Amino acid sequence: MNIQILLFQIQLFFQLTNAYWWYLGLQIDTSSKKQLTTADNKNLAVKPNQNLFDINKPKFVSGLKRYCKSLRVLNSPVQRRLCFKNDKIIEVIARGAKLAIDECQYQFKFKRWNCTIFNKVNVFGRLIETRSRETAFIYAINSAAAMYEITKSCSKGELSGCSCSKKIQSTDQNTPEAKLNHNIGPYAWGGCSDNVLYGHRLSKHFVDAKELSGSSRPIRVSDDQSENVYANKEYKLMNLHNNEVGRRIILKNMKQICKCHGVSGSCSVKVCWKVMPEFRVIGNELIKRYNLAAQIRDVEVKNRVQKLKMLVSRRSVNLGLNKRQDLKDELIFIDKSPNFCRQDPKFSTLGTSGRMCKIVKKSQEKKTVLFQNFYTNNSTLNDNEDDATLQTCDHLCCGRGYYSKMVEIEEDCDCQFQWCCSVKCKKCKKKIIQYFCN
Amino acid sequence: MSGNGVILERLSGKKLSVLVTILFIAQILFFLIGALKFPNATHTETVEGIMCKDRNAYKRKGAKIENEFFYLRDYLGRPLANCERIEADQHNNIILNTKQKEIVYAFQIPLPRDNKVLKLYRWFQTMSSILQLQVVFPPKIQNKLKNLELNETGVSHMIPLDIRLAYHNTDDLDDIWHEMARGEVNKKFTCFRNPYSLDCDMIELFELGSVHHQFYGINIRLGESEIVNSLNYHDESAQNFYLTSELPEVRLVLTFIYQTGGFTQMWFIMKSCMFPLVLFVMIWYWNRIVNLDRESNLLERILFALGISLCLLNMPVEWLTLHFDLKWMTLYTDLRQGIFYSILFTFWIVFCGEHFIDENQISACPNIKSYWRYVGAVWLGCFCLLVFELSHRGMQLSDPFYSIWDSTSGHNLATAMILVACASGLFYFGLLLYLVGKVYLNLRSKKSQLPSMNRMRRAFYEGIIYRFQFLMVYTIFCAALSIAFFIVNNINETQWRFGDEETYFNYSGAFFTSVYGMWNIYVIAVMIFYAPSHKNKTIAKHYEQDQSEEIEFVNIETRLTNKGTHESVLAEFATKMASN
Repeated sequence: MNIQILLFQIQLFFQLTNAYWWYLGLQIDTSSKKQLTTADNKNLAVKPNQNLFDINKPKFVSGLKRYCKSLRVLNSPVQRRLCFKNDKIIEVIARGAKLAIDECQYQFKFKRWNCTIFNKVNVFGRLIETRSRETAFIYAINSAAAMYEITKSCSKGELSGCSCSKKIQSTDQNTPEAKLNHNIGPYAWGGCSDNVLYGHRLSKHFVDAKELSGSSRPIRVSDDQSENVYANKEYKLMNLHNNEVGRRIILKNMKQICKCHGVSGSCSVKVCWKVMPEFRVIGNELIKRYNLAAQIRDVEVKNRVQKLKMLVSRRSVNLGLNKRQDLKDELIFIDKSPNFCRQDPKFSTLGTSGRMCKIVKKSQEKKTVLFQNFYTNNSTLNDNEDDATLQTCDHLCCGRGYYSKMVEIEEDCDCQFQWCCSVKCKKCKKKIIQYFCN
Repeated sequence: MSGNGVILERLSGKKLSVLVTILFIAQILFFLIGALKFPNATHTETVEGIMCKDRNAYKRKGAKIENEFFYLRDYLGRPLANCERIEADQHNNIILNTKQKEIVYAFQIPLPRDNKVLKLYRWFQTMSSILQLQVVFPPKIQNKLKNLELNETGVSHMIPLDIRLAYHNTDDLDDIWHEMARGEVNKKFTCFRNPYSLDCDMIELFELGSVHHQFYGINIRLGESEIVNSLNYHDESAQNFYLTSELPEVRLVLTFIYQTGGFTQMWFIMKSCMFPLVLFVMIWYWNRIVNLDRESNLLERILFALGISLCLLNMPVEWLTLHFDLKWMTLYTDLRQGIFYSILFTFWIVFCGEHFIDENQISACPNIKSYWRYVGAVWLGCFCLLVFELSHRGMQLSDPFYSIWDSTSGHNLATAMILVACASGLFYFGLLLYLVGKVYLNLRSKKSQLPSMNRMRRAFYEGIIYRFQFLMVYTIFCAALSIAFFIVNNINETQWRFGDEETYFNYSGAFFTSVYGMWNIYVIAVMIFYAPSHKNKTIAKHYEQDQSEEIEFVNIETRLTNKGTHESVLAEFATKMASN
């Protein structure tokens, strides 16, 4: 019996060296019925519904420490230290991970890769270890979601550790301003910075820690050991870059709101502030970046890890070879994506067999963008969620054909919005035809 | 014999240039102080409402149960049990197991930062809050809303809000929140339908003239407005259909705008420094006029009034707000600014009028009554703004949630008042331009006659022209600079910035101090330059040795500028010249 436990723990240890904080997002799942794909998880590491938040409110420091250590998915010392400092942060991060997973599955619902998740510590299966376009998207959306949730909980007052300082760097006490605001304190003196700045800073600290800690093992791309190490470095740089892209997308999509302020309501003073958009907007923006992601060819590392500057050349139909370009806001990847048509345990892909697909009338079909891994022209891409381009059964089923099923469903119809704020709907029974891939 | 003439005319070129340089340096100093030492003028704090469950929501009707006030944190920043939180189902954006009536949105400011509990300071002076409402629709019904079509431009709707505002101080017991105001208001929201949500434009919720307490809490209950049945559910036979009612996630976000404490502090200090200075100049000026052996004329009295209004503007009564809860401070600030502007505008008109050297018109009129046509526009505009101000800010003293724009009659009144004020403002500036143009032409025609005049008369006209042109140029300069600062400041504020570009240069601070300093310097300079000069006695003596004709002229000139005579002196002079 004891040996069994020991073996399990050893197994657990090896599993966890490559754990991702995203796994927290699976554990938060309580109310919604998420269908975990359990095809590949014979060696289930952590119980699926282990409730994280029984020990959520540790009263004492020792309790908090024990709690943080119990979270094996925090595999970087930086992440653990953050957890020690602030008991709420894990809950917030977990919410972010869940948001990211939900959004990813929404965005990829009718694509060949449907953002499959596994109840494993690396959540997205072995695909995450590839240096593919999908990895780029996963990293970007997770870091964006972490930032989103941190910023939100700052403005809800849930995170008490949200920083007030206006400067990104730690406050220097010797500046003249520090002297000036000595008597009334920095908050009274000049107010606090925007929450989103703190969200950016903290999520960067937390999310990037995984790539910076150096705990993930080298990816095997060839038999030459040194080349593998180099590949790992490239992988990490790619992830760091894509993390930052995710965060930048939020910053770029912030809405600005202004308010006039002055004598008798005149506009002698204008006060402006920024608000975050819906996360769906971020998801839509990221999927666009995913379609236009750039494949990098060489990576230039300056100042080792801390200050990364990647000069990336992009292989693109339009731009021609060897044209270098600043890719600050674009996702990058190194290797081609695996073929998602077939089941492939090497990448933990399940194949498209049995997937539901949609039939789009021929007239609406846009043949130019049928192939997923082709660079799509921006103008032909439809932002609409019922994007007709990539959802046809022919494409999704990889030409293997599909079958149809008649099902009766009950759904909301004729809904009406009642001010304010409820929605009244009728329930309608409807017979529809669903299509599934062979 | 006392002469007229102001200091400006009697100053030598060297002295004048020194004075102007000093004033210019003072202006630059104001700018630099604002740019380098002032923090941003305002500070915003965005707070998202937390939904609390009001268990007593349905009990209230019968027995009068004291309504609970929901607060979120105690003085140590710990979450308290008072608020039973409702969490929206993240996946579906639906609030489950809750009735609409039970939801209370609780806000508490300030938010905790850096693991510390922050307090509001009295230095913040004012607080206004902006409410934003967003409805996030569940994905399953996003495309099925029949009465909210996508891309519909701006749906306006009245939503009743039950708002409670309470405060708390560190020396209060944890659960004691003092209610400041409670209001049931109907606010008009203009909303836009997006694919996933309904986003409403911000509305102003309340404005406080003083931030006297350390913590403020707000509870908002959304009321249901009258049912609009655009879809008739009753017609169809209810065999296959049944109705469901769901609560989509509604987010309320309040943005609070405060003045920053640092700005208030620096501003107080600056005002406290300027007040004695302006007071001193004003007393000196009035002293000079009193010492004259003639009655003060209209222009001098108006200039004195300008000095008084500036003193009123500068008087640092705000220091009292650090000890007393002065809710009327915003109203008072607006009022004294209004007084200053109205007197400044009057001054310009009178100044132009008094420099008009035409026998038949204004120059012959001695008092303010003769300017009623011109000044009337200013005072009408100011009166309208006063009515607006009193009915808006004045009402807010008793009910902070009151807004004149909410009721139709109030809306009409406010619009009418502002329109009249704008119209009279435009009318005023038109008149002023017309008057300036007229005076300018008048002076130019006189200027062309100058060489043919004798020395006395020429000196007199040259003086008038010089005085007029100096003030005109200076005023235009100040006005243009104010407008330029205003534009730069507004552009700067609306620009995108994310704090990572740290600047040591604060535009908004520079804007405030520069404009403030400029008009202070303006009034001081005008009071100094246009104070009656004492030097002219010697000059007059010098003139006495001249021909008798010129002595006579000095007499007339004195009478002319005294504006004591009703008959046109110049005409008299002209006839005399002719008879000679």
